[in-house]
Amino acid sequence: MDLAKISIKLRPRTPWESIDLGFAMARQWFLPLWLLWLCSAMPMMIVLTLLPLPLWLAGLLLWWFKPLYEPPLLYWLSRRLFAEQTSVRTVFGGWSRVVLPQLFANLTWRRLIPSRSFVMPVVVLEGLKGKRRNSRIGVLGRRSHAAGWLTLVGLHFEVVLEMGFIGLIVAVIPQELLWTDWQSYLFDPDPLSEWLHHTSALAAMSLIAPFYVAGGFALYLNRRSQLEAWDLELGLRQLAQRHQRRGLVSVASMLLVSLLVFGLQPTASQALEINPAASQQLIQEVLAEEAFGRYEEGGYWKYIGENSDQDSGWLEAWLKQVLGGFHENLAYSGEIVMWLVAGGALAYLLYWFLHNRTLLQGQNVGQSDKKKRVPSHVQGLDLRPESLPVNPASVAARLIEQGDHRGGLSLLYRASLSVLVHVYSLQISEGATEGECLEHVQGYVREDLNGYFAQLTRVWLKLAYGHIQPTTDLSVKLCQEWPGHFGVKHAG
Amino acid sequence: MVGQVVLNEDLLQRARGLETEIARAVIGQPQVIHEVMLALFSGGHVLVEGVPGLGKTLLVRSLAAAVQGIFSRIQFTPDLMPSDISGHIMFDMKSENFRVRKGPVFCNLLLADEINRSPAKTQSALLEAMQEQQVTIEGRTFPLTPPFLVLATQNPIEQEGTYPLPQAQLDRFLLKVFIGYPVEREEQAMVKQVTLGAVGDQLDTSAIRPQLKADEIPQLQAHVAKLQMDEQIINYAVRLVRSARDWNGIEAGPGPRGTISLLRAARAEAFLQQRDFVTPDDIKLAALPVLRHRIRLATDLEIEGYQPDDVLNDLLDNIPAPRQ
Repeated sequence: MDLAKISIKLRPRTPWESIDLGFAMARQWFLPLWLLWLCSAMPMMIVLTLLPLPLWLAGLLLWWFKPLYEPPLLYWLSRRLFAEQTSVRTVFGGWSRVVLPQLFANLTWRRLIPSRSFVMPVVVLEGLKGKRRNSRIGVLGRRSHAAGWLTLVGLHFEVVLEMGFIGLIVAVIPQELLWTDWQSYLFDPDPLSEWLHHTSALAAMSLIAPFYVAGGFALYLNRRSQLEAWDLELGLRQLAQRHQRRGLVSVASMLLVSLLVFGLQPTASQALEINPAASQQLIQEVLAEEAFGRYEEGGYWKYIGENSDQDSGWLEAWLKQVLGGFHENLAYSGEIVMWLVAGGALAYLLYWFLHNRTLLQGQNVGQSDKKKRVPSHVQGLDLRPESLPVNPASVAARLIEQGDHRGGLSLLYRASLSVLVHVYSLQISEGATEGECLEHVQGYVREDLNGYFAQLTRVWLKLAYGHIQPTTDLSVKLCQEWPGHFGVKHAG
Repeated sequence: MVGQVVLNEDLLQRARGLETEIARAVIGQPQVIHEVMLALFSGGHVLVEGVPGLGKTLLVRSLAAAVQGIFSRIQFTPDLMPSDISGHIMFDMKSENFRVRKGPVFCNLLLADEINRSPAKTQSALLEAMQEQQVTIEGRTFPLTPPFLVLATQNPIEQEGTYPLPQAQLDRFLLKVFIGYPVEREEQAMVKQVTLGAVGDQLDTSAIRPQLKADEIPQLQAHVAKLQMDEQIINYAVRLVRSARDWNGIEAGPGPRGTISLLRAARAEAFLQQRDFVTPDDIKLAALPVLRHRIRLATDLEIEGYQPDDVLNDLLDNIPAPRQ
């Protein structure tokens, strides 16, 4: 690895910037990285397909073996970064060196480590294992959580891409050829659906993998650069190279300047003459200068365990009393509210029963319902009892005998409605027609009364709208029967 | 019954039995059958709204069989031309003359299936025939043989790519009828009857016994048109329609054609109720199918999901019935 040939600009970066750099690298070399991944993953998929495994297990294994497909990408990337052209043959020629080391660990207890891409270079590129690996990761991974986020976000993108692939395929298949629906696909997939799922998963994983590996590698490079000052080293090397090119004259002048400058300074032997106490004082003076930083005072909370001070016992007892009392009071209030609600519900049920008992009994409820609000007019007819004569039937009969059939039957019909509304509590709206009044009456009052009212309505309709006058005998008969059904006392 | 057309009792009974006869083939849709009868006897046309497969074609075929009339069906599509409805003139190679080829509109009972699938130009061709009772082909006018009843259908659920009928054209229909799913018991009976011994899905109207002749319908329509109607009834209908114009929740109310249609339908209702005079109940019964497509609800009510029937029911409950 020759730092001088590095393809990226080394400088201190935040972890997020580093991931961004990794993504830029992945975009730059996407095709070779993608093909490398597929070269590893496709054989695995074929093997899993040939094995007599359930499809879901094959899919799970394909995903689980990811640490098998990623090291070649990292290896190729590490070479390409330092301008070294590496062929696929070379990468897979060294497969045993790149992939096999610690493969068992990578596929078992290390499989679900969130910072997989970040720690992979430690194994693949540095070849560390055991305690050395752990201490190395400990140093590299300090104050670095970005690798975990990279894995988490990558996982989500992978799922989104996979769903997108499936959605796309399902969307372009004509409705007639579509063999499944979303519900069956999710909860009861058939083999074809599972195949579609695994193919989509493979495509999604292959697209995300280059970005994931490159992102982790960039994080690793940045951390190494921070710890080992690679950027400074590189800068110094470039400076040295530049000076080499300038030739002898420049070297002579440099030497001359060095002699002039450094010749006046105390020599190393002179420096050794300073005793420890003096050097300690000198160090303190140097450290006290502003360039070496400044002191600040700050405060923070720290848990120091249970307070054993007995004086605070009264506070605790008081709080318990107050809070305990509060809970009891709350429970007591809740009980009162519950009883109030129960009482209200009971009162409402009682009210509803009293209000609707006419309907429940289908009978006359007597005088008490007279207090209810009743319509005074229906179809423009005045239904107030005071607007009617004391004995409407006899008045109607007299009118009919005088030849005023319309007046007589109108009075009879109006009186009937008045009794139905005021005595039988019949609910009739202002817009109700004769037919609707008849419908209301049916099933609500006694059958004989019902029959009489139906006949009266028929006769009335013929006269009122058909201008068909009934015979005098029929009209008089209706008047005579009226008191038997509606009663003089009721209407009065 | 001033000027009443006198018809023999047998004809009247046969006409009133038409509804029962059709109900033998079209099971589970008594309301729709009744409203189509109203349109038939009042000489109007019907717009039926309902999902496919509820027996609209069967209804019209049964009616055609019962009145021994000529039945036609037009499936409206976006590429249907006016001449596909009315007919056209073609050159006859044999006689070397131009010959008129009459379209499917020349019939007694026409089922215009999914009328809103065709553009306005094609719809107008039919609506003109409905209004004028005549068809003009290349400048020559051909009267349609009465009775002429159009039963146009609309599917309420698939509105993409349709041409909704404008308010002015909706007004040409006497009634708008909703055809819904039958109740379970009736559906069971219908399925049993339709599938018993049936091959394929052809509509079976063999159970229908002819009740009337097509040429008797105009006589009945004339009879219905002259049924007794009290001044109070006319006043009630006018009050209803005028109130609908200013009613809360109605943005555009029905015009005078609405009142006229309401009275025509109410007369037919009275006829079917075996009365020779109209009562307020007839007006109320006819009000919903006559007025529901003639009003436009205010936007806020539409957003809240109210239907024209909700507002009309409110109107009917609150407008006082006639005083006598």
